[in-house]
Amino acid sequence: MSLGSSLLISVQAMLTDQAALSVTSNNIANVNTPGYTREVANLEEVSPAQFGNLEFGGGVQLADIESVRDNILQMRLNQETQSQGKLSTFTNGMNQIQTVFNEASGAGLQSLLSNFFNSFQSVASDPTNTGDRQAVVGAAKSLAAGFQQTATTLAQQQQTADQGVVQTVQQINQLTARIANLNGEIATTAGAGLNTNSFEDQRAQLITQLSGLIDVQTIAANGNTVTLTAGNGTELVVGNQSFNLQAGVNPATSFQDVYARGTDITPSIQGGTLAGDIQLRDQEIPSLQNSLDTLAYNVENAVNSQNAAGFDLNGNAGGNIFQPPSSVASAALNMTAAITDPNLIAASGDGTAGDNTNATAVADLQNQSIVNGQSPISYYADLVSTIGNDAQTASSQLTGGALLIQQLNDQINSFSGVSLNEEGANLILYQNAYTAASRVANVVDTLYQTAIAMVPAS
Amino acid sequence: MSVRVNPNIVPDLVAGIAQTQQQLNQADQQIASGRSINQPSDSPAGTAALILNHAAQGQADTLRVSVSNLQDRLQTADSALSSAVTAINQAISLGVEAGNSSLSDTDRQDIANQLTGIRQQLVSIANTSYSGTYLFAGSLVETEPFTLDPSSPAGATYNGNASTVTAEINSGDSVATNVPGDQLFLNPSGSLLGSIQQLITAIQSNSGIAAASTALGTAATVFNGQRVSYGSALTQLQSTGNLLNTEQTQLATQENNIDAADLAKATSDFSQASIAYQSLIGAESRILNLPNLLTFLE
Repeated sequence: MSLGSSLLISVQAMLTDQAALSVTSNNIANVNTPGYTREVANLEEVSPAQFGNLEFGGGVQLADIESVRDNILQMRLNQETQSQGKLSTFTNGMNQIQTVFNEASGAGLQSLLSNFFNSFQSVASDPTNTGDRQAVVGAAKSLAAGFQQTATTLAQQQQTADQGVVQTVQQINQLTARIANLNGEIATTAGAGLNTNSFEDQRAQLITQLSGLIDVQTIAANGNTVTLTAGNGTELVVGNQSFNLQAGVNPATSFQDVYARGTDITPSIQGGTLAGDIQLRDQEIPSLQNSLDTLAYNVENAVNSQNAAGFDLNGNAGGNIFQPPSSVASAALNMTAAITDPNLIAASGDGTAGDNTNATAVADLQNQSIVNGQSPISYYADLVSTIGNDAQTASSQLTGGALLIQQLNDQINSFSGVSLNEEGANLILYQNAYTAASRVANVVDTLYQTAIAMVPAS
Repeated sequence: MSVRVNPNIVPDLVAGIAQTQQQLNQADQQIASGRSINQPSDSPAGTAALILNHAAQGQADTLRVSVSNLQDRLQTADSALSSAVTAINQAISLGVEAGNSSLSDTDRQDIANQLTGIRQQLVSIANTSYSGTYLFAGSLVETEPFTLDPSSPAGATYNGNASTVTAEINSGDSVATNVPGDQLFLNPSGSLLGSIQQLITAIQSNSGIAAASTALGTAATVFNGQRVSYGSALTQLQSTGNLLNTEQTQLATQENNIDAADLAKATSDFSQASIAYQSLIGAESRILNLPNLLTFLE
């Protein structure tokens, strides 16, 4: 063993401590960086040197700088983010729909339906009263306007969800392009034997962001890259290449479907904002529209038929109160009052002005099973209750999911997050080691001086 | 090795604050609106019950107004018939007076003239209208029911019909709103106008006055019998009106049970959430200001 090797060991130790300090410094610098995974400087012994029968330690060196990452937790976070993205979009949509059916605050169709039928009740109690008859005309107009407005709002919500699909597809394409880019950087950097930690942090964060938009599967691939696939297995990212999703109008629905490499993957999308918008647009809103249309269609037809069974104030057979709907579809959106002349309300059952049997019959329709075996009001009550249930279920799932995500983030942070106390301790540790190593170098230097002084000056 | 704890608790604290704020908002909304259901998702079943309740209240309100309008209409009819009774009694007295054999022709003619006046009064009563419609025309409410017609045996002809109109005043409960004019004034069992006409003729010819008076008495009994319908209809309307008032009160109570906010609970929720909020804010500011190991490095 020479003094030189001791000097080299101490210098090597100083360099290693310096590198470890640099890792600590980087950790501290990134203490608030979203998605940053703390790094650990892994130190290792240098292989010993053999001198005869003796082995001398070779000092310390930096083995690698490791990102403390738990891929399983990250995967679970991504999965949960997918369902949370869907629930969040769905809940927002439902909350907006709810305001249209907010019966608690008096907004909604119940009062319009009741007013309409009750206006016939008033006519029945005084069949020739022009004021009461005029009220029927007004109530019919208001009811038609109410149905139209409700249907329009639902259609607008559907359009909003449809636009959401297009916007989300754009966001997904931007993210997959960036992820593919990072994949490329990682492969190149790893190929050059360099540290890819910060690229991986960025990539993990982008994948989590992407999970909020669509359900993706992450598959580890060659060269530390990942392959991302959509729900049906279509590839979104392979290596440094990304495949754009396309939004295209489906002629059958006139809404935007999502295509991946030419295949319509809309039905297979189960997670993220995209799934939330698709569920609202293709399932929830059409189902509500159908119920609303069924209600409008049956009320219009039942009222028209009953009015036609009676006689107006001129003694003629009754006409239509509403424009007859051509089909159940869009019946609510197209609901229009046909009656403008109050004298044409067929209150009479026998053609005499004072008879009220037909007005009573129309008023009584409100308690009869004229809408799929239910009275109009109880059918409507069921509809609103369904909306409330759907909104409530989604909202409570959202709250539960948020807690789960919070827990997963806590777990990830407790594993990967930077602790300033920990870094402070490391700082002291490496600083002391550095100081000690420099002292050793100093001592070796002194020994050199002593040895050199032994040689007489010539 | 000890378990590593999450070094960054700020997101948890922020989430906690957001949750507490939501509780504060919810309690505040209940206190402000006085209702526990502010949107369908607050209670889907409760909202459905509210819709049915509001519809039932709307129907009860309308029926209550109908009952009240019908009461006015029937009251008018009953008053008219009541004044008819006064006139009939007067006619009966005149018939008795005309039977007195000591009367001169002039006296009898005088009585006959008075009876003619009474007959006109009765026809006028039979033509009573209420808000533009005739009360005793059956369902031909826009046609004047009686016109004076000296050529007819009764001295008047009926232009109405024999319809009785019924109005629904509560679920499964209806009331007859009229007695057709011919049943009242030209009833085959005893025609009021006919018997007065008969009495006038008898007095003018001074023969058969007693028989004619008896016939008028019979007709008066028949008339009173018919008139009773109005009295019983008014009684029915009164009791249905009371029933509807009770129903309205019950429905209002039911509505209150469904969606009234428990203000005591909401207030207590609010103050609890408020305390939690303040504690969290305090905790966060302290935690964020805690020193760490680096603070002590020089």
